[in-house]
Amino acid sequence: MDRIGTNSEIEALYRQHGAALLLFATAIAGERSRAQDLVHQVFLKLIENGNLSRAEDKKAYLFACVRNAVLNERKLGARQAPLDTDTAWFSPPDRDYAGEQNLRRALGTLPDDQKQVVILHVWGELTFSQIGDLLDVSSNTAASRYRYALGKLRDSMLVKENSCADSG
Amino acid sequence: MPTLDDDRFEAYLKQFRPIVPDAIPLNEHRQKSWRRLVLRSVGAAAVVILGVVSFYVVNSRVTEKRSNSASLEMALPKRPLTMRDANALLAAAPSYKAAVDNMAFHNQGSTISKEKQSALAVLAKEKIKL
Repeated sequence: MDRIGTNSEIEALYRQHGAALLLFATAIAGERSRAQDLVHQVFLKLIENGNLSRAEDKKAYLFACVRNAVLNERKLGARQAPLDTDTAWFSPPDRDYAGEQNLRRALGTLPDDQKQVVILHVWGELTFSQIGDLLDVSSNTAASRYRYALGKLRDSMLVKENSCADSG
Repeated sequence: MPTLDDDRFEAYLKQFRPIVPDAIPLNEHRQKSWRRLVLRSVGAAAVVILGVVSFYVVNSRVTEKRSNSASLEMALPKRPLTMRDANALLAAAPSYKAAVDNMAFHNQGSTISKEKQSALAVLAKEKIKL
């Protein structure tokens, strides 16, 4: 495929998966602006090198690239920013901003590996097999982590809602 | 939020759409690449110029050295130092040190034929008891 064709394919992939990739990067990096820079870097590198055609599963490859970029940056900077609680991660349904904040907070309470599995499966729409390959675990492990994380997320969101209702 | 089973809770979560990121800064990247290219070219040109200049400097120094050593060789007498020359040098020199210095710079290469020998060499071999 020629360069222009590859670039337009990469841009199409960015439009299609950019939001989920940014969410995934933000959840690991902790800070949205830094996460966005890293996602941009990944795509600019792909445009520059044009080596996306070698990837069999392009979506999973993109998530792997973003994850590596965040982890490399974390290694180089030797710092892990705390989760940014001010910037919204989602566009909530029916302007449910409290629900959005609650979801963000609940996601923040999950351990890194569980948080990654939830985001990859729910918003990245990756299968457990793809997630297993990406995180270097078996698909069964990915699935059990997901179920466990989903339960914790639900409990955490319910507790917060109840406490809000009690205080109100 | 009502208590939901896994599937319904997952569907509820999916209603929250992740925020779309800003467009890829392609123009900025192109400008950066262009700037990088220009800087690299300037750097390469500077290295080439530096290399050419240093080559000429080194070359001119080597040529200068060669011509100096050639002129020194020309200045040195081909004749070996003899007692007469040494005496003449001692008589003509303003000081003893200057005379010895002059002698030291004489080329004492063995251009003497086998039948002849240097007076200094003979004196150096002799064992003088004091």
